Amino acid sequence: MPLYVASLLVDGVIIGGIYVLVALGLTLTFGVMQIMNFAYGAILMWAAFITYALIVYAGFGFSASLAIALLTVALGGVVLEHLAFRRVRYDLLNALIVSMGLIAILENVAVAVWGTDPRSIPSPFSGIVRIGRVQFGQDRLVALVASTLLAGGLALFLKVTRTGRAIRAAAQNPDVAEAVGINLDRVVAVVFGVSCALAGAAGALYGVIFTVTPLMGGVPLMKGVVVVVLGGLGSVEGAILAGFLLGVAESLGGGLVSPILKDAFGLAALILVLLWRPSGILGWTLKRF
Amino acid sequence: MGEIPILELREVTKRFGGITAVDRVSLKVPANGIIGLIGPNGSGKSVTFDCIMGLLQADAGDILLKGESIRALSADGIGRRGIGRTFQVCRVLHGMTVLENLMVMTQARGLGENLALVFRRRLLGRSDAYARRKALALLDDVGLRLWQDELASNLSYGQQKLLSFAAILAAEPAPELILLDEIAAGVNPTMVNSLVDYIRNYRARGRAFLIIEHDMKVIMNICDEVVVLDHGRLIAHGAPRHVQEDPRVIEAYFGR
Amino acid sequence: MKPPRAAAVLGSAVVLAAAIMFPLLTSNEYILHVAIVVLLYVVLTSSLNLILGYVGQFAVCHAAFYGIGAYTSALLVLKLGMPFWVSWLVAILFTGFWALVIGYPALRLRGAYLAICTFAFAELVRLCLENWDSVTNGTDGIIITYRLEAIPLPFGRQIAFETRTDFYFLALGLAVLTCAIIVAIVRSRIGRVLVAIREDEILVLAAGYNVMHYKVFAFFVSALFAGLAGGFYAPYMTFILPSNYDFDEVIFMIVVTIVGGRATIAGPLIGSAFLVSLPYLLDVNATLRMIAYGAILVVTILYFPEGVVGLLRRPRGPDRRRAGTEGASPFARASNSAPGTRA
Repeated sequence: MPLYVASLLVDGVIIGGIYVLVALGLTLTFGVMQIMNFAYGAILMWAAFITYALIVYAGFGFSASLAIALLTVALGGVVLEHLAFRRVRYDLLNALIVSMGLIAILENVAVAVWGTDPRSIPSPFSGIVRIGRVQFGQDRLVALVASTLLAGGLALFLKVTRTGRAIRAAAQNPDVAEAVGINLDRVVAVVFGVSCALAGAAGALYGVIFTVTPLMGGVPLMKGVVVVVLGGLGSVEGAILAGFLLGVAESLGGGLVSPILKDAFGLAALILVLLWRPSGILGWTLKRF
Repeated sequence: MGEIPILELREVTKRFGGITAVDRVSLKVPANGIIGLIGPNGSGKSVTFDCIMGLLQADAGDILLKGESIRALSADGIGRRGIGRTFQVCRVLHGMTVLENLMVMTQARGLGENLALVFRRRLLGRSDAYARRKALALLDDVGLRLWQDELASNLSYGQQKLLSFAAILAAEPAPELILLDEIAAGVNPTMVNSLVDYIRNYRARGRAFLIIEHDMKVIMNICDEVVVLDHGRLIAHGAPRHVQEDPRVIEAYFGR
Repeated sequence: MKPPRAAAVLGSAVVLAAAIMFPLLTSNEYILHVAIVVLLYVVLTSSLNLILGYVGQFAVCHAAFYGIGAYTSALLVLKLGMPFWVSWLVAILFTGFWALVIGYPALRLRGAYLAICTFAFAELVRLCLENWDSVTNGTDGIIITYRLEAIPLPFGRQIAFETRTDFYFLALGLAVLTCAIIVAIVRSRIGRVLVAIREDEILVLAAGYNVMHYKVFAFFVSALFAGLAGGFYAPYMTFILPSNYDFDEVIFMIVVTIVGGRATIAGPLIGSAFLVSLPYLLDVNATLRMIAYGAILVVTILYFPEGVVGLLRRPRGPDRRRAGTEGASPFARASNSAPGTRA
């Protein structure tokens, strides 16, 4: 029994790492622009497909395909922001609606192009790793390492680099930031690009560990949103903590109680947190996030 | 002298994280009085208004309206008790016409009442006519009558300020205490004089005012008494002339 | 209530007359079917318009309410043997109950939070429908074997619902009822408050209105109609699946509402008439349809957010009116977000 629990824990941490990755991109756009980019899951899915196509059809290596996919998706995100989100930047409701429309487009174009058959991204990590008596796939280990590195990298980027600090300044107080000379348009473009790249990384990992289908983005999106809300919207540290917690909680709950409740658990926790969040009037707080 | 002040703040405190925006502020607004609330930017004036109106929950102290504590009431509950407020960054209903802006304020507040009125059309017609007359009269007062069917978003900033001022007075019954947050900012001097006249007018009809202002002319002109905040703390209060000459006040504004 | 404009009354009368005469002009079953589906969406989108367009609350669980209405009514008839009209009424009330349960907590939230919360609720409903096999039959759905029972009239006569034309008139009646109630609400004092809430919630609150009451009221009413549509159309569709009430469905409803013209009475009517009938007339496959809907939605929001009705009213071009600024982003120039800035 303890072995079972231990393996559940390990699984939970691993999947939690992926949740963190998904959440990071979301929390970045939400923190800076107060836009919940619902199309995030679809972007994640496209990165997975591009990676798959590059490996299987174009014969590129794993790393190269991944790199190209991330770049493509990041650039695509910037273009998307420029074409679609820029006009509704000042209008939350309309921005949300735009992102929903984008989901419909991105997902269904994928269905039209790739069909609905599930595929899997062939990766060089096909071995088994053993720690003590617990074992899991090598690909999952790589996923965990990758997500940890990326999370740490992002946190560092925001703290140390000039662009990172500009992003944080713009998130705290855009008017002051602009007065100081920070180019908001550029900040937004960078944020979108980075967040889409993160989505892409998560997508590729999902594609390696699980399967790639046009509708695969829905679940990670929901998980990402849950994590972002649980961790505090806009908070990178919170997203990291909440991501791992959710992964472990789901894994334990699903394995020990009931597999069906796994998804419901996250959703219910989300609703509860949203309702019990300490806040001012009608969900207002004077601080932005 | 023996009259209960219409508004009293007792040691009201509001903190945000590590910052104490309002620090044990106490003040009284006598019935039918006009009190000025001044202080450098960031001194906590608007936050004080938010606490009075219930938009923010004060961390400590008490707020009394006509002797009764309103600190635990919800914002809408306080709104129904007869306090009106304008906002520092002028708030109007942009997508609605000028007239509609006032009509919203004249209506009964309860959902139940308004729901019943959906079915009793005749009754509605009559009382809506009264509300219209009142709203148009108010628009006349502030000089916006000709703009009645214009979308509020098409008004100039100064006109929107006047609209928000009129909107407070449109409430039925009219509020006894009115909080004005920098009503003169962004408004041309002629209009400011008109505003001062309106305030005097409504004071004569029994209202009390608590006014946040940076425009010293307005303060000197109409305030009975002035309260000065700096970094959340009350540093001086008294007649406008005295406060103007108080060294602590001068230091707060210029000395940093 | 404001007296309605002469043009609006005339236009409504014309449209109504046309709708009544419609089945007399054609006996083509297919065209009647399309018209009936259009009427279904008139009910669904007019009610969605109330909470989304007029009050400006981005609540995306409308399809879930539609599904709750359908499944509840169907299950009550099939498992408990209730007469249809009774089960329909119960289903409507049950849907309303859930609207209150999720509405009171969720409507305290603004913008994205509200969307997330209602989305989570809709997902929970979907999970329930798909997995609670013993009750809902899971992803296989439920086959509706019952029909609408005849309504007995005095003198031994009855209103029967045998033909599609009968059903058409009933559907028309429901659509008219829905529009009439929405119009009554919107043009009343309540409607004024609802729009004011959309424009500036804080202002309305400070004025002394209990904003939550009004929001929940609108949400409740809109959910009632969704449940009404669900329960009513289940027997018409002869089988119901969880996928009929999923996220794609609510996206479609949003597209119809927005493209037609939100916060207008005619908007959902126009949107339904065109967007619902188009796929039937053009016979495009579902995937391409969804791509088109998504593209139409995005283009509409970006270039004419007022929808078709807005275009018809303002040929000069979009005006500055912000349709739905509830909670400004930090990039908003007029900072509407905080109750009062620190001074």
